[in-house]
Amino acid sequence: MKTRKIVGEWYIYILMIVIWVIASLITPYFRQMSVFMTIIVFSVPLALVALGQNLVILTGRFDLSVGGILALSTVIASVIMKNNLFIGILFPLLSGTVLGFINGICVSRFRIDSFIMTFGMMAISQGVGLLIRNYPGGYIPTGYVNFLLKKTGPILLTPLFILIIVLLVGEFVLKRTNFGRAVYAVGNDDVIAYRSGINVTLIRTAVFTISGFTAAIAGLFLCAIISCGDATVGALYPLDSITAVVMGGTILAGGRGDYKGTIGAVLILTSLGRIFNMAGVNIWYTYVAKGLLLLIIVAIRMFGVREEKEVAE
Amino acid sequence: MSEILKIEGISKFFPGVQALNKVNTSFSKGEISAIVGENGAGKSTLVFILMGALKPDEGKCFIKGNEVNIIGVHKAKEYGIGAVFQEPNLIKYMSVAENIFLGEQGKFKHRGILSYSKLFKAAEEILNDLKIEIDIRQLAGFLSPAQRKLIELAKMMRHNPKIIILDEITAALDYEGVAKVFEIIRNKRDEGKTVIFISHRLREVFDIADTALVLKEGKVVQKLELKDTTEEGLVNLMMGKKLSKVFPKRISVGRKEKKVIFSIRNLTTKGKLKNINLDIAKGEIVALAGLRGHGQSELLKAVFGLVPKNSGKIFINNKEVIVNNPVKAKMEKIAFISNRREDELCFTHSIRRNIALPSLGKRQRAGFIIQSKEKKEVSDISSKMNIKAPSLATEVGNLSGGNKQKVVFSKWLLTQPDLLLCDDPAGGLDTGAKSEVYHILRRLANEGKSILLVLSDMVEILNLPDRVVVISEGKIVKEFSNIGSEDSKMLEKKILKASAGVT
Repeated sequence: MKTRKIVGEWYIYILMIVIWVIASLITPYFRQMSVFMTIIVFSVPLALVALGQNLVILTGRFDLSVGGILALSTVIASVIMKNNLFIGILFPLLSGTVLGFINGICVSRFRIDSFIMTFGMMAISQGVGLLIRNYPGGYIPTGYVNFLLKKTGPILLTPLFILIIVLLVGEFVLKRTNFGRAVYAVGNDDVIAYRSGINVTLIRTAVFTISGFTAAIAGLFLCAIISCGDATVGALYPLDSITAVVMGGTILAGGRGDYKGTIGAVLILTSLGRIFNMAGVNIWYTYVAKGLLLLIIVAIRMFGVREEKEVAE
Repeated sequence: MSEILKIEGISKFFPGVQALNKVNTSFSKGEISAIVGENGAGKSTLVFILMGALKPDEGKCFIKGNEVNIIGVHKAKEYGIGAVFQEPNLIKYMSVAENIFLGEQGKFKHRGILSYSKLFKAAEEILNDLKIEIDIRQLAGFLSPAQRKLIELAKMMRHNPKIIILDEITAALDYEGVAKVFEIIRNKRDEGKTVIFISHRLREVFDIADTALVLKEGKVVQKLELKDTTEEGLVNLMMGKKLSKVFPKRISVGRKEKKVIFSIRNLTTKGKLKNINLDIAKGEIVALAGLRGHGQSELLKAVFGLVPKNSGKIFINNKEVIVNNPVKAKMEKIAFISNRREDELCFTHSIRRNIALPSLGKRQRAGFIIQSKEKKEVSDISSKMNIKAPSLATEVGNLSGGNKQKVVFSKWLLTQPDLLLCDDPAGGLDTGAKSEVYHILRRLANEGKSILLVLSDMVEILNLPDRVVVISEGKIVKEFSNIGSEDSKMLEKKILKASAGVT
């Protein structure tokens, strides 16, 4: 029973290792450290976005605006950074936080459905991004890029470090803080949480604000990778982040799940692109694979839920 | 009386539980039989099998001497078996008439189009037949719990079943609702129907039923005529041991010595409450009685800040406090336990998480949970409350009703409340668990907490509180202070009178 529980909790990492083993059997190139490092580098922005998304989904809501906010963040950075690095970091973070806060207030206080609200915000943030920069460009200081993506031997230390910090912070916040407990309670049932004297409005506003903030940080990291600002770079982040959270074991209805699973799913999703690329498969198949993966996992989970219910009755 | 339904050697096994073990029994025409037993005795399983919702592992069913195989609810209907369950089963946004004929609207076609006039007429006939006065055009969602049950009864009766199964249908009803339902059931019995009645309220069983089938751990203990036994005798059969005392002893303290700590002055809400004045002393249990839906639950909610107040003040220790949401209520040391356990507990979360939730703020360092403290406090309170579970990591959804309620108590007690508001705290529990809840409440009162209850079961009203306040149409109409010393029959009459608005 105990081993089964452990396997259940860590299944995503087992799946990850299986995928990596198969990939390195298919293509020998996959065994190189540089490939592993690429996966890590591309996992960082998704892991950040998924952290916010994870909190939002744990409260039983969605954030579709993460991609737009992330892209806007790269655009703002690419405009300001050449003049002042500090403000170039501060402003994207501010924009993400403010947009996330607006999402949160509208969802919690004005009771706008989160799907609609963040859908609208996605369009708004992307539109603003395109107004500022309608094609990719701008300047990201070399010093900034080097700081984030500098090689120490074959290893990129900073991204690895960021990924581990993000994982620890995410897990710690969810499991060991009052805020985390409140997030789970609100996600399970906001009536219960409200009656238990939890400020539900505040928690809902907070998760969306955090989601906007983490999406903005992700944008700041991503602009170092692509070395420019791009208002369309976030298109797949809503899909990818939701897929990662759901694959990682968080229930869409909220109240159950964790962040370590999400990180495992992030690593798998970013690996898929690399693997397809190296195996010589058309890159667009990655999208198909990701979409299928999401649907299959949700279907399997619903099947499990139904069985549980029948046993209970 | 002729036998209509007979079952022989019915067994049903669930993983880990033998829910029914070779049950033999029979039910006669024109008889109301109660099925009684503790939770887990197999009552619901038996009912589900009779309804065709569960397939027995072995055993036979006979209707009028012919062997039948009841598989599927539709088959049960064909054999003339109808049932009403505890859970509401009406569609909120449909009218009463549409609900009654749900799935059979096709019968009321006029040139291929649904004719509402025909539908309404047919529904009206059914309700007239049962002497139920409810507007059939009303949406089901706006009905009171009692009205909803009546409509569900009507919905079942339209098939004219020979055997009527009623599973805990009185659980959400007050005494007036129960009386109305019982009137209908008695009429049906006199028409020669067989009624199978399940309730945890033994008083009701004695009121309505002719015979009782006592189940324990999936086996039939005895089937007996109710006129041959007493309530205590029946409880002893159900529990298999002597129940020492269902209700705890009141410790009589003269009212003068009592210190009023909590007062409500001129409270009026947008809903039903008008000008409520109420004092509660330290260590006192006060019960709000009266017909359900006249504002008793609303009073608890208003005090807890769940219902907005139009006017009125609340004083704690002679100091005015403003409570307009649960966060504030918690700060003023008020706790509220609602009558719906699903509104109190996250069923998929562990016992520990559920208990820790409202008092999180008490065990933190800069927002971080102090794990060791939480663990200790939770395990202390759960052993004090005698919660029976494999561990504190057990999901609350897997606990029995009584243990769930104890988790609810634990979670609120960790906030160290001075005033405890409980809406029907023992509702839906079996006798053993009910008794435990009564003892918990009394113990808390003796520890100095003030308790304000909403009760609808007359037995509880007469035996549990120190003081009873009757609310009718949103106003306090009568107060009974010396509950313990008055004759209970007389008191019951007075309370019923006051509830009905007769003064």
